[in-house]
Amino acid sequence: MEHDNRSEQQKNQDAEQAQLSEHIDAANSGVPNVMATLGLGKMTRLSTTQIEEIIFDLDHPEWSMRVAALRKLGKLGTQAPVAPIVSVLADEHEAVRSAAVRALGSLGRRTPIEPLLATLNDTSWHVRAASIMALGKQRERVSGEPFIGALSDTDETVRAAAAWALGKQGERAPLAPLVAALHDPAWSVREAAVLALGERGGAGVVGPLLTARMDEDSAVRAAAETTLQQAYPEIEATSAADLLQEEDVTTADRRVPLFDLPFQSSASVELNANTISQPLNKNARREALDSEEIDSLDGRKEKIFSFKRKAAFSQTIAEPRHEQEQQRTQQSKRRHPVLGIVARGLVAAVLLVGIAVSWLGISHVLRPPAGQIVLTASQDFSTNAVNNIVWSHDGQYLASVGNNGIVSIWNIKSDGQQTPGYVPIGTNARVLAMNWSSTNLQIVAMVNGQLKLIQIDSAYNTKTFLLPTINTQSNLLVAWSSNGKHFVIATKGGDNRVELCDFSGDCQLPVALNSFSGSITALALSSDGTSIATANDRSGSTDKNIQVWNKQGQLISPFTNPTYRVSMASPIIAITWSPQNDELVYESNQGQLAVWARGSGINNGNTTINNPSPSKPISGAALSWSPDGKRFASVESSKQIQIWDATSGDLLYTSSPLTGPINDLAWSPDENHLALTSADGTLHIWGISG
Amino acid sequence: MNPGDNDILGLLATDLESSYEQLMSMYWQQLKVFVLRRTGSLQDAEDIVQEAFIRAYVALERYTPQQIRTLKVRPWLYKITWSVYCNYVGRSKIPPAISLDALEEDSQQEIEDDQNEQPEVIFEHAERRYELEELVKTLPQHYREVISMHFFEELTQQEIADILSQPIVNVRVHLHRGLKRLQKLLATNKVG
Repeated sequence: MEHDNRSEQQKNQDAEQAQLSEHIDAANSGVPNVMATLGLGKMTRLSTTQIEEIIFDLDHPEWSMRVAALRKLGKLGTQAPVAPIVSVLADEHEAVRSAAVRALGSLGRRTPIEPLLATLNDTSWHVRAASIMALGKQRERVSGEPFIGALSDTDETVRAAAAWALGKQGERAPLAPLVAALHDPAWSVREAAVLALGERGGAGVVGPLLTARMDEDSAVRAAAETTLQQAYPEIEATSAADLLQEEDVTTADRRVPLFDLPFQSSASVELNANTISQPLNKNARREALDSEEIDSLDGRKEKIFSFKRKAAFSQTIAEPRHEQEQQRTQQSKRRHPVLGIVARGLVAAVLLVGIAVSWLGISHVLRPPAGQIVLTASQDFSTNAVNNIVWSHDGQYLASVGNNGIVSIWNIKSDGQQTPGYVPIGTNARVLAMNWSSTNLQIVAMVNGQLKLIQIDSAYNTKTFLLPTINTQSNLLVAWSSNGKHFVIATKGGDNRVELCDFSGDCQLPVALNSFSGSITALALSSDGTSIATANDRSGSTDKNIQVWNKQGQLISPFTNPTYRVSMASPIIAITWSPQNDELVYESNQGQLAVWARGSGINNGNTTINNPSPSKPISGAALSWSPDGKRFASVESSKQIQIWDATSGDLLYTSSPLTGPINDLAWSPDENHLALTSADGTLHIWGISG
Repeated sequence: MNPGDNDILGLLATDLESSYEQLMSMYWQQLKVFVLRRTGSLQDAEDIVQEAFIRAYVALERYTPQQIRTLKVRPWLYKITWSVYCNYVGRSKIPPAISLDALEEDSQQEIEDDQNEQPEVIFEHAERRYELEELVKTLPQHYREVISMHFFEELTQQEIADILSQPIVNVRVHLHRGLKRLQKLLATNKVG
């Protein structure tokens, strides 16, 4: 009986299998349907070429005939009648509506925009996607808004098409929606966003593309890799995506026979996309520990952290590749699985311990915060001097700019959060001043002969404003208020007109400074943006004036007297407000430093800095106040930092010479560090407190 | 890459409209079977593959000729089809994650397997493909998908990982565990 049941069951199963096989062997019955839906094929069903007859077929009872008619009309190009096609946009069949959209999209500049925009609300994803594609081809005739909206469509094919369409808009397309699309749950949308970023180009795309190289999906990674190589060939070809791809081939692309599966054990976890960031962080931390000890005044050992961007790159990208290659080699040589697993376990343990030690070490040396490079710079900066540097108000980020116009943002506090990438603001860009608002880095720069305000957030999203200025554009002075809300523009050596602007790029009408004489040689804006300090050089005289003005151009007297007059042969090249706005430090190009303090009178009461080596001029115009206003830092002999007591004028400390001339320095908000940039392409963070 | 993939990619890159039918003819059946194994409904399989090919066409319209030429078209079509299938049946596209502990566990298991397993023995149990397919159907879903894709659709582990948007290590673990279960099932069936 049991045997009978089993036979019956077997028969049923065999019949089911036969039915399945029959299905499998069936003709590709769905192909014609897809062809008809897409309006493809040889169009043999519609033999006429007379436009009137084709239009007549738009009312054909069979939907596929209507689609074929639309395709024929679309092929007519400039001869195609627009109105009849538009009328079919309301057809009951989605394939017909979609075909109508496609037909309209093939009419070039005759494509009607409004009817297509209306189809973005169609119930069929196919129609919406076709509409986006048709509108995307129109480029400048359509704004980016419909596409931005379509990035939120419920259908992933529509969202991918929207990303594509935005890319077609080039630099007109806003960056943020495309960057956001890189986080879309659908790989096809992320891939389209990557390709669109490549098509769009411009500032701010490299960082997101570098991030996309680490996407979980291989198609997205490959798209990012290809885009970067094509659009930015200067970026090192080696990539994490390459590593993953190669690893996949060596360990996974072998098709194994049924039940002969060479199972790969946990070692592969180290090479997986989700874990590859660990070696990156590890090496970044190791780099941060590459420091030299210097003696501080009180005998404590202090650290200079030298951050070479090239080294950062090579260690974060190239070295993991090397490590992985080694691991692969070891893996291929491995014969004994037990030993292999033990060895892998040991390696993993050592790595983890190393990472932990690195973290603890950094946290101990720099407290707070843990100073280290967490940015992976993907370009060899070593031949490009780093010119400017500025801390964000919360001390989390450092921003630097090289003379190649590359802006990098370094995440200092959150060492687990990488901020990969950089922003090229223009190879001919000349940064005049930069500061942070509460959220964005703000740069005023001359870019290709135009004065621009460039705002960059920590993810490298960028906004650019063109600044109209009456001042001579070839020789501008720009100064930010320390709160990052205002900046002032004047012409070096020019007349007495200044322009006060705010962080949104709005500038007031030029203000003429009353009672002004001479020409401006240096400029500073108080932290609240209300007081403008100028250093003036009076032609034919050794007298140099420092004066303070309000926003209306009226001379004011914050320091008892409105004018501080100093007699020196060389002009004042830098002037800086103290954080409390009660002192001004100035520097001449002969290395003279002095402080004009609140309560001091003309040539009386100011602090003369006791420069111990006046024969060695203080180079550059790098001055930075400590946040408490008690000290300030300057650069001596190009390669040494000096820290001064602002009250007594005493020199507190001179550092050992650095490897390259110092271009800029910035005191951290927590008072514990100085960030330095150098002409040799390096960036340093110097720990001050022990 | 299948024989003929290069040819069809060249054609698609040159003239998408004229050559798309050829692409569909090449992959229609295998994609239909791929879906049919999962849905059991021929009509559903037809609908899903149709939609997948429409979506694939829209995607190809966006790609540049160069992108089309470098496409790994077979896994790419499977990936799109899988996505449509998941949307169709309302299932999550993401199989359950695997913890690192689990990976260690599997590594240990691998040691034992290497010492004791005789894979060809399983063939003796699996003389008929039909029986094997029926057993695979009884596996938990995440094992079933991976084993089916690897052995019946002949997709590589990396291709499966791409289709499922999973790290390849997860695919390996699921494959390994699924095979172990399959071994047990075959052994049980033989005894029974």
